[in-house]
Amino acid sequence: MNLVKLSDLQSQEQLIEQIARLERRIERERAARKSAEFILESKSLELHNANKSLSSLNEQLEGHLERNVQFIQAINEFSSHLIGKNDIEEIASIVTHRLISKFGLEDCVIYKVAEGYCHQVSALGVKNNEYNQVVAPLQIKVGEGIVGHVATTGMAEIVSDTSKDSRYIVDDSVRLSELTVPIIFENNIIGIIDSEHSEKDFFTEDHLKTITTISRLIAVLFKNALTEQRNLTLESNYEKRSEMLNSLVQNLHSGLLLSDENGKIILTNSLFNKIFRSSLSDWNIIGADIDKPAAEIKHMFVDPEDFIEVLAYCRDHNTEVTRKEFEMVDGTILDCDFIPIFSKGHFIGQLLQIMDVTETRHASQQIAASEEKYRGIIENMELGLLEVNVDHKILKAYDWFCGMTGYTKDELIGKDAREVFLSDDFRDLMDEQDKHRLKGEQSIYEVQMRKKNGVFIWVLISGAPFYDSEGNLLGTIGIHYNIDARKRLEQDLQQSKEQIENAREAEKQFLANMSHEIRNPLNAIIGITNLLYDTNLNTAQLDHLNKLKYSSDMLMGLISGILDMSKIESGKLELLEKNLDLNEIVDGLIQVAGFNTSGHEVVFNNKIPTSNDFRAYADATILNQIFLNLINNAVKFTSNGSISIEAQVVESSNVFNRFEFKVVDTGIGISADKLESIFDIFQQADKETKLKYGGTGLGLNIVKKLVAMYDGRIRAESTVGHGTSIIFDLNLKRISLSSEKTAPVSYEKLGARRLLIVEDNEINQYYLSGILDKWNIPHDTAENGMIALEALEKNKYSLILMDIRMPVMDGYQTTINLRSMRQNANVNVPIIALTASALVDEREKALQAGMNHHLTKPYTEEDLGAILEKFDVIRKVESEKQLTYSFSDELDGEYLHNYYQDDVARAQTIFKIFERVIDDEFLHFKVFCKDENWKKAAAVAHKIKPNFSMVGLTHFSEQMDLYENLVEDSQLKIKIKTELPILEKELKAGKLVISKELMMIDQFLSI
Amino acid sequence: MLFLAEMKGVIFSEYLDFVENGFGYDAVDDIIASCDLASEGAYTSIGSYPFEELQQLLTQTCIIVDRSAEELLKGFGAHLFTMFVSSYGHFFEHSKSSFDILSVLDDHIHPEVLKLYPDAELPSFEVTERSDSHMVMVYKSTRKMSTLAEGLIESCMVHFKEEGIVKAEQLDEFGEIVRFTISRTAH
Repeated sequence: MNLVKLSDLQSQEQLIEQIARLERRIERERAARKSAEFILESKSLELHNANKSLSSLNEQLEGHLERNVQFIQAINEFSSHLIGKNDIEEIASIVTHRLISKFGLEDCVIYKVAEGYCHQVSALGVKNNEYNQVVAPLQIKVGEGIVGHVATTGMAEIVSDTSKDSRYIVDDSVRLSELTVPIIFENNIIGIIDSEHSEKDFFTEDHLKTITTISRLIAVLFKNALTEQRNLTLESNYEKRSEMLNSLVQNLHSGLLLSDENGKIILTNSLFNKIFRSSLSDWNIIGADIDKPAAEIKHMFVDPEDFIEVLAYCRDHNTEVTRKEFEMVDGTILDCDFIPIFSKGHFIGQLLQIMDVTETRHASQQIAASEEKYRGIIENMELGLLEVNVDHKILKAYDWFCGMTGYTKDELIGKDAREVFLSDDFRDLMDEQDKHRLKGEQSIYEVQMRKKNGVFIWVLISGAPFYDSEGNLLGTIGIHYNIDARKRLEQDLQQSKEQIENAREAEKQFLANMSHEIRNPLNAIIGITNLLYDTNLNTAQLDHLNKLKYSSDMLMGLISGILDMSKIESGKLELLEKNLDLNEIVDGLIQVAGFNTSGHEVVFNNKIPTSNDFRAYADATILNQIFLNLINNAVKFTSNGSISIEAQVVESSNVFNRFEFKVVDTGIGISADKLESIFDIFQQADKETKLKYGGTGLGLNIVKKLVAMYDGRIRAESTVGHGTSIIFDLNLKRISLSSEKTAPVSYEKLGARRLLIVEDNEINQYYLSGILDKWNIPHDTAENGMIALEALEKNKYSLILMDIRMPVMDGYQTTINLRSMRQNANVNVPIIALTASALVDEREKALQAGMNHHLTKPYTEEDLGAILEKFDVIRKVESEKQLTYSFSDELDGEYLHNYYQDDVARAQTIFKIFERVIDDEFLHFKVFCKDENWKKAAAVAHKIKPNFSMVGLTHFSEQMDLYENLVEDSQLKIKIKTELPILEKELKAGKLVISKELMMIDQFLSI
Repeated sequence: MLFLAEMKGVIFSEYLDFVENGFGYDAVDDIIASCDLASEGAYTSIGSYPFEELQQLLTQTCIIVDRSAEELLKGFGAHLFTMFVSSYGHFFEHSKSSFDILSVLDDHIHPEVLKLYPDAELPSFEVTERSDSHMVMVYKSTRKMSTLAEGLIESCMVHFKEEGIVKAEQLDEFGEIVRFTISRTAH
């Protein structure tokens, strides 16, 4: 039961579910139906609407059709009215009338388009309400306004609102819309139909279509009418033109006769009739044969048959004869042209043109006579006249010209003037002259002309073009003036000038060479003279020597001056510019000059400031020479008083400073009349001056030239008895502030050291003291060995600087004496010999005497510094800026420094190469020497010579230089046997030095 | 864009008929109930409904009747073809074989469909090869229902009492372009 019930219950539940499903299905079907109905309803509404619009479209179509039929009827009617019309205005009038009456237009205007304008041919409507013909036809330029625009585009236009169209040209009344249609025939715009209306938007596409159709319809008619009108115009133009021609012929200023191909006269003009009227039997000769009147008038000519012949000749030969002149019996001159007339190659007649030229002819005869007169005048002025035509053919030669050239007139006429007179050298010049003539220009030029006897003479030609009475260039008239004598003189002068210049140049060259050649031996004389002073001389010898020295110095000064001058003049003086301190230069010179003032009481004032502004890049030699010359000069002429040197900057740019210098002395002065010339070569103020003061007279001239090298000028101001100022300026390169003076090597003294200078020469004493003062080293000075020994008794010294050759007691003796004084505190003091020459025996002698070292004169500060450093008197202070590498003393530092500059890295490379190769090379050398293969040994020596010098082992390279002579020098061959082992030992030592140096270089480079 | 596209109502009503025929109205009812349909399952053949609804119906059918989508679409294709033959028999009057009718789908049949339903979005079938025994056509449609098309083609062959194989190759990654190679063995 439960089961039944359960199943019942289940089936009941299933049933209920089934019912629910069915209900849902019905609901879905209903909803679907409803939506389908809705869709269908809206679709049928759409269908209804579509139907409605379809029937209205149909109605419209019917209306359209009807209008089209009407339109076609109207056009037909239009055509029927226009048939057979060929007057343009009539056609236009019909069209405008009908357009207004049939199409409801307010007005209508028709234009024809021609020659850039639209010409009104018919206008009807409000603008012309009388409906009359156009009285004053409006013309519109093509391109202007709407009508003009359509006339260019050919496109019909509707302007719905003219107020918004910038092209619209407002007429007497404003119309708001416009329709403009072109009339086009075969792509040409020949007319315009234009209609305006007072309302906006009046014109429709229908209007456009209608009027366009009408414009096409009338285009052919319009075109035909236009062509007809043009033909009419042409006809009237032709008549007018022939009338004009006729009048022209009649009024011409020459007589005309025209005959046809058979000789019948067709035309004569009034002037012809006037000339010959008196002789003609019948005035009217038109239609007559030309021979008849010709026979009647021929007696009027001076030569009657001539006229008849020419006339007949021209007619029979159909030949043109022009400008034929006939003299008449009554004195008049007639100019006749006989001109055959051809048409398409056939002779159709003859024209006889006759002009009365009597007056013109007389006038030109008068001109010719007057010209002849002036030529005569020119001839009398010894000027040769020659007339040539444009092809240089001689037309006329005048007497003087013939005399000048040696030809007769007959020999010259018709010849080519160029060929007769000129050589080819002057062809170009003459071509140039021809160009002037063509431009109508006159010109003057010089040429050489060949006379008949072949001799050439120089002439000055003034050439001018000349013309006939019509202004045509006929040729050139040349006025010739004989300038041969003057020209020869000129040439002679030029030649002698060149000779003189060459001679001067040779002289200069000779002087330069000679001076140089003389200076070398002179140097030897002076050098040896100086050496002689170091020997023991008696009074007479000293006197001779002084004279010898004075003369040789004098000669040297002269030769140097000449050499300098020739160098300056030939521009061979090269500028070696350095950063210089002007004050320092002058200071140095004053010190030297001071020693020349013996017997003079002269004070030197160096007023040049020491500031940076007074530094410049310049050649030290040149500045030295300028100042030295001027200071010496001042010293020479100033026995007491002062010599001042002043400087100021007078002009300054970024690159240059212009300095003005003054050397002012209080000497004897120069008289005003000599002031100008003192700077000239070999000029001294006067002869007395030369005698009294000596000198070569070259100094100031050299100064002047040197000053000029720095763009300067020099002058002198002077008052006799009071002194002279030499004033000059130099334009010198400024030093840039960044490139400051390189810090000079400086030293500082070590402890309380005192030095003794033993030196008899004042200059040397002064020089040495100066340096030691600078380094703050206390020192005493002794004039000879004796005085020195006295000083050595009193004071303890750290070092002695000892001259060798001294009066009283020389250096050797002094040293030997000192070294033997056992009790003297200075017994072992280092002594440095100051030797005058680098002679080896002198050096050795000094060392033997007990001196410790030597210094060869002349020596520099650095040389002295190095010695003092070696003996621990001073110590070099390394400037902070100093980044240069210093090679050790065992090597040739100077050479190395010059060779490598500051390129230490390169030195490193070279040194390393040396280390690597030198043993092998030297071994080769040794083997060749042992084998006595001298040739090869010499070659190796040559090869390795530079290797030694490049590492600063200079004495090896010198040795190798010697061994290069092994082949020739037999003594050397023997010597080398002993030298070789020593050399080998030395090389070992040298190599050690090089290794040490390399280590130093490595260290330097690694910083 | 795709889910906004609409599909002709006839496809929906025919689909429900196809499910009802195969699995009973209970299945139809269950399917509609399990979907979230704006139309609530009330489809009329002259209306248009979102394509997304057909996708929902198809998905739920797979679950409820436990069949693969491919199987269902092929079956639906066969169903639709039967409907086409009975409703639009005049299209088939002049055709003698499946190739005849398939090759004129793009050129004749679909233009006719568009006259009736101007807004219908129809797949294109471009015939690239054809011989007596062999035809290649490329299906293109954003609906990606080439399986339905396959069912239609197969039914078409059955209709003309032909035997053969239809091979489908997808030419893009979405299934919008598929090449059918139809080989007839007997007809």
